[in-house]
Amino acid sequence: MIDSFIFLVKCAVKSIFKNWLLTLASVTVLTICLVTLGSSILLFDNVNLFIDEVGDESQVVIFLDESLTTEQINGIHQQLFQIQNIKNVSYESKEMALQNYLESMGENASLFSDVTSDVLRNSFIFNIKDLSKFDQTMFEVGKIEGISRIRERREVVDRINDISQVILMLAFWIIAIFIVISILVITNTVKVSVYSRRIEINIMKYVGATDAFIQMPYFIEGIIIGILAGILTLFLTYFTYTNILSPIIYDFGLFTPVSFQSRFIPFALFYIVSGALIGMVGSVYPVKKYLNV
Amino acid sequence: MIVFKNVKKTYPNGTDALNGVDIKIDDGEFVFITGPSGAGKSTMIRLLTCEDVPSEGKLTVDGTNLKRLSRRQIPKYRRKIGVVFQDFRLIPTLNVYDNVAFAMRVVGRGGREIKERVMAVLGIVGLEHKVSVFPEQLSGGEQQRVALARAIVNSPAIIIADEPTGNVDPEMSIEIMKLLSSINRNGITVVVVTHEQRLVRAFKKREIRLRYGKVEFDTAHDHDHDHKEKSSDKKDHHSDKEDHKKKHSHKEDKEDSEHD
Ligand SMILES: Nc1ncnc2c1ncn2[C@@H]1O[C@H](COP(=O)(O)OP(=O)(O)OP(=O)(O)O)[C@@H](O)[C@H]1O
Ligand SMILES: [Mg+2]
Repeated sequence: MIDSFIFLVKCAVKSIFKNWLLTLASVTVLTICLVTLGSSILLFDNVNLFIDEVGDESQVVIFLDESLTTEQINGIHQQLFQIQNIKNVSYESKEMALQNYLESMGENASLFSDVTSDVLRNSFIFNIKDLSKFDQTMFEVGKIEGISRIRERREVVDRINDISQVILMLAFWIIAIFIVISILVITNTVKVSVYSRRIEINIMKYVGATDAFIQMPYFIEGIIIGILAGILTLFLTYFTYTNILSPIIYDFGLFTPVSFQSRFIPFALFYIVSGALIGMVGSVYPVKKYLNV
Repeated sequence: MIVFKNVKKTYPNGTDALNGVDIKIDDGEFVFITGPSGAGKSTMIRLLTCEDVPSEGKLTVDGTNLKRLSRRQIPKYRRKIGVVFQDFRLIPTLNVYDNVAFAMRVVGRGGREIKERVMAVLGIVGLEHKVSVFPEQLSGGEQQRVALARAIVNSPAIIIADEPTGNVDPEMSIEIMKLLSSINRNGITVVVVTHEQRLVRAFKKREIRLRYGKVEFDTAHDHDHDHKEKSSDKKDHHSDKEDHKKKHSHKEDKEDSEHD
């Protein structure tokens, strides 16, 4: 078993070196594909973070009925906690609201000196975690009793959702196209190494090697190409992101970008596994043709 | 035991390569398959190696109907047979040792076993001193002996050789045949396709001659009276003249082989 495995890996490595130029081309194309994939993920994470941290589009304020007792208000607080897609729930009494309002007026605050907090209402302020589920979440919030009015920015949320949708579709198609191109390039590379070893395949058939065995070196070749591209992508995206992109975003003072370090291992796994999968898929077809002896 | 029962083979382009072949080859036999070019010899071999299936009739090897073999079962069946080709089919990038060892590796055999067995079969074909030489540095005869070593390394029950001496000089041809016949003495069934009547005569083994996809004659049946009585007048007639005819067609065959 082990002998066979070593033999198969040796075959694969040999043909990788023999067709090094094509291997290089495959690794390059697959790397471009994976970099696109990884960049899209980082872009999405950062956009989400930006919406969370900077924009208040996801902020919702619910104003409570004046007649509510402290217990009832606490009850509403509990109910809000129970809703999954909500975070940063905070209570603002009408006194606090006035205070905040006056503060925001700055120097003009004196103009409102005779305004009492009774014109305002007690409220809860919270954010929606996943904006794409905005409507469902707000429907649940609406079922809570004791709410007199809800302030939300539905049009903005809708626009964000629309834009996200477009970006998502675009990313999906770009990635899909790159995956197809990668598979084609790998298929071509493996085809060349299959062709250069057709005598071997022919002999393997005659001495009774199984199809799976004959397929294996090319399979391994595809996987190796995939893993190489995965590793390359990991370092490329890591260094460009942490050393170039991240500082730029930070310098603009917009927000603190998503950290790559903290998700290095998931990213590494993701790149290597998707690279290996694409490599595997690319290596299946060209051998099939030569198996029919 | 190999049994062809009314085997017919029509290629997709309509060529009738085999036209009702009936042959029985016992375990441990040595058989020459002869006949002019296009008679269907290689087609017979291709059916035996499961590269193709009969269009009609039944071909069984040790009771297994080859038509019934599934894709998964074919490799297992092929481990029972060793095949030798006219063009050797050695892997140019591997030396003699590795060319032979290759056949064991690809069926999942392991380290020490390979070494012992490969050296043993290289000894049988008399090439143990050439283990690290590459195919292009060998003569045709030597290359064919490597191919023969590779064919027997997995201990097959049957050796099938399609014109093994086609690319080998005359003296070496005799050597190759001697090797095949000594392999046969160890109980392995040997089926050899050849154009060379010279070899057929020298080795005095069973000869099955094909023509137009049919068995023209089978020396095993010369002593088989039952079969003679069944066969038609025409056949009887021509077997009277068989000796004469053999010599005659020998010339034909020579010409044929030059065409190849
Ligand atoms: N793959 C194929 N497709 C179509 N026709 C074929 C094919 N292979 C062989 N034939 C035809 O079948 C017939 C028998 O061919 P086969 O190769 O069996 O002859 P052979 O006896 O081996 O001849 P030779 O001595 O020249 O090798 C020939 O007419 C040949 O042209
Ligand atoms: Mg032939």
